[in-house]
Order: sequence, then C-alpha cells, then structure tokens
Amino acid sequence: MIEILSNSALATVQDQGRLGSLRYGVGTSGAMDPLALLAANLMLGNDENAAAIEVPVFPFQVKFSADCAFAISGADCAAKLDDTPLLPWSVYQARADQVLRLAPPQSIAGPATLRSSRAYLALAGGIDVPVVLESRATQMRGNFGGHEGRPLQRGDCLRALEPGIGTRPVGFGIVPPAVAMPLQVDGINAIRVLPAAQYENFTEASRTAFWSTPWKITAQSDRYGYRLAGENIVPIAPMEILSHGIVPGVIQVPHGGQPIIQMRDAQPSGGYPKFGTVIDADMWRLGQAPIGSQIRFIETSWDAAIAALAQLQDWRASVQRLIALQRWSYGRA
Amino acid sequence: MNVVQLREIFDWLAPTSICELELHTAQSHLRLRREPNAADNTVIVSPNIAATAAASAPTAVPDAPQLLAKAAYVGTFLHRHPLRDEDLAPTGSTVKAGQVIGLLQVGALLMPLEAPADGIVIEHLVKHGSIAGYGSALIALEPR
Repeated sequence: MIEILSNSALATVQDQGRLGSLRYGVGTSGAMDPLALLAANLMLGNDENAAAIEVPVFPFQVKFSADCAFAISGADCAAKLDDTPLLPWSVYQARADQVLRLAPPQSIAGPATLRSSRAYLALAGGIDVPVVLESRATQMRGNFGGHEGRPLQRGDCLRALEPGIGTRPVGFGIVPPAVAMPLQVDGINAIRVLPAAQYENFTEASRTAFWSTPWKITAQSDRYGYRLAGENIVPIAPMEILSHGIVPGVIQVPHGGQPIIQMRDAQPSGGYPKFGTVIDADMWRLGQAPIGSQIRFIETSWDAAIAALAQLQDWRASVQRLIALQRWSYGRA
Repeated sequence: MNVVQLREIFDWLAPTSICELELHTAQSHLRLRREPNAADNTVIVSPNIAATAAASAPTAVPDAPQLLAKAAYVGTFLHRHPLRDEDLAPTGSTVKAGQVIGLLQVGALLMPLEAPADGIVIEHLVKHGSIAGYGSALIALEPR
C-alpha cells in the first residue's frame, strides 16, 4: 500500500502500546505522542488503537502504491502530497503513485511553544502488521512487533487494513491538543509530576530547584529515555536501592545528579532512586518536546493527575462527537 | 422559548443547508428538522440576513469583478493554521481553484475554506479569530 522511499532512521510502527506484559519483562512501547496517534485514527474513523507510523527524523517520504485515505498529526512537517501542500493534523485521500513528503518541522515558522518533534502517518483501517502480545507496537529491545520488529527502512512496503477510496469525509483537520490544552510556566512548556518514593531523600535545595528552574532535553534523549540537563539533584545521603519495576514517566536520578525520564521503550526495571513520575496525562507533551528545548515541571497531586486524565477524555469526546457529526452531514450531502 | 423566537430560528435556518438543529437550554430542549429544498413557502428569508450580507460586500475595487469565498459553516475564521505564523493566502497571493485559503474552526474541527476559482487574493473580509456566520463572505478574490 505504501512504500518507504527514505532511509527513515528510526521511524517505527506504533499503536497505543503493549499494556499488560510488564510482568514478563516486556516494556510498553507505543506512540510517544498517544494523542496525536489517537487524533489521526479518529479522523480516519479507525479503531482508536490502530497502528500508524511514528516519524522522528526528516525528511520522510512514502509512495502510495494504491489509493488510500491517510491522516497526518503531530509535528507540522510542511507535508506535501506530490506538489499539493497539506495542513498538519488533517485527513486526506491519496491516489495510487502519489508521493507524500514530510519535511523537517523546523522548516515551518510557527509559535515556539507549539514546536514538536514527532509526526504520525496513519492509514485507513490502520497499518496491517501482526499483533504480538496484544499489540502492533514495535518492541525495539526484543525485536518483535511492528514491522519485522525493527525501524522502517527504504523499500519496506506496508499495507493498510482498509485501502481504496474512502467513504468518509477527508480534507478536514482538528485543532492540535497543544493549542487546545496549553500548559506553560513562564512561557516554557510544562509537565506535571507526582513526587515519587525517594523524593524526600533529596536535599530541600534540590527539590526546590527541580520545580523552579528550566530543564533542557539533551541530545541523549530518545524513545528509551530523556536525559535532562539542569541543576544537580543531590541526595541527602547516598542511596543503594535494589532493582525494581519502573514504568514510562518515572524520573530517576543517577549518581551524576542529572535526571533521566523513562519513555515508551524504557526497560521494565531499574535501580536508580526515583524522584518523581510524569503523570500519564502529560506524557504526550513530553513525547513531543524537541531535543534542545526546555521544559518546566509542575508539582501535582494524585487527584489533579486523575482530573488531567478526565480532561483528555473530554477532549477525545468532543473531537469524536464533531467528527461523527461531520460524517453524518457528509453522508446526507 | 416563545413562538416569536421559534419563528426567528426558522428564519435563520431558511437560507442555510442545516437540516436538523438541537438546542438545549436550562429550561428547554428544542429539536427542529426540515428538508432544505422542500416547502419553500413555509419559511421566509429574513430581510436582516440579506442586508447583512450586502453590507459586508467589499467596496475596495468596485469595478473589478470579484469572487467571494464564503463560509460553508458557522465557525471561527482563521487566516492561518494555529501551528503556523504565515497566512494560508496572504493578500496579493495567487491561488488556484480548490486551494485551501483559510480555515473555519468549528469546535475541535478545522474545516477548509477553498478558493472558488483561480484568482488573486484582494482582501480578508473577516478578521483572524472572528466568528463567521453561515454564508458570510470571508475572502475577496480577483478572478484570473
């Protein structure tokens, strides 16, 4: 259905993640920006968990070998279908032999706080790769799931589950969640964090610095984890902790004092002290933070974290309702 | 909700392609259904709507024939995508028929405003971020 034309370097097939297998030592994987993947699937009328391509490195080009509806979301990559410019966070119909090209996000001038780093390309019905342990996400540590358990490379061909000329409306878009639900401190994108088990074992000065200073996403950041640069986070006394289970979002502080946030391809266990945990509802914000950008942390509570999840549910419901309404009116026209 | 208000809503709906309208208020729940092209005699086009449309017609280039790109939805008119600094169709730019020259934000959706024909953008008739009524002229184009 589509053929990868670029040496995509780390573009992978992802869905909402392989949940429920941590007990076997199998990590979560899945989209770094789950909202962008969800939005692309909603626009196409796909199953919410359908698999799409996550693109972290540009330019990225694919050729449609057959007619197929597709949606793009996430980073604005000045996408073009042949010579026709496309808008980000939108759904379109491709015809056989058309080429879709995603340029580097930096090539587009836009508000700095809305800059993001990963684009998603979803196809009608979702990408047809085998389900392994209840998920189509690429498991990079175990080399299974996704397309042959590895990143995509030039010449790979992927099928859509519902190719052809779609019967649903195309040519519309949705308001990106970063526009609809902005979160900033002093003009810097912010992430909400719950203090974790060893939080009280760090000095008060370090705890204060964590919440009150900006943190840079260093170049040593990827789907496995983000290494941050900022004030040193210092323990009151050295800690020796046995390895234990960890999940994406956990913020660890190794001996060097510079925090690491575990991301979607994190290993399922670790032994560094845990300073905090990024709330689930903000993982999409972090997943889109470009290397070199700064973030701020906001201390939050369990109740506020649950409320933030409810806000995402409301956003999803309003997008779903409006798309359904549009589909209904399209059917009548 | 009284009969006069109901009549007013009918008048608003008359020139549109809206077939079904639901209105929830604290006191009432109203649902109207109609077949857009049937029973033309039962609804009257409000003179106010016609007057508003006429008043918004641009006068900048009175002699040149003009094309108007009009709102197909009620929504917030955007000159540019919210992720971008640059207008989709800046004044003076050449556009092709079907090209997306603006957006109407309807809740979470962004609906395209397409150029009705090849042309040059003369003027944005509604400000970026303003609410646009159904059928209102949003961009004036000089055909070419």
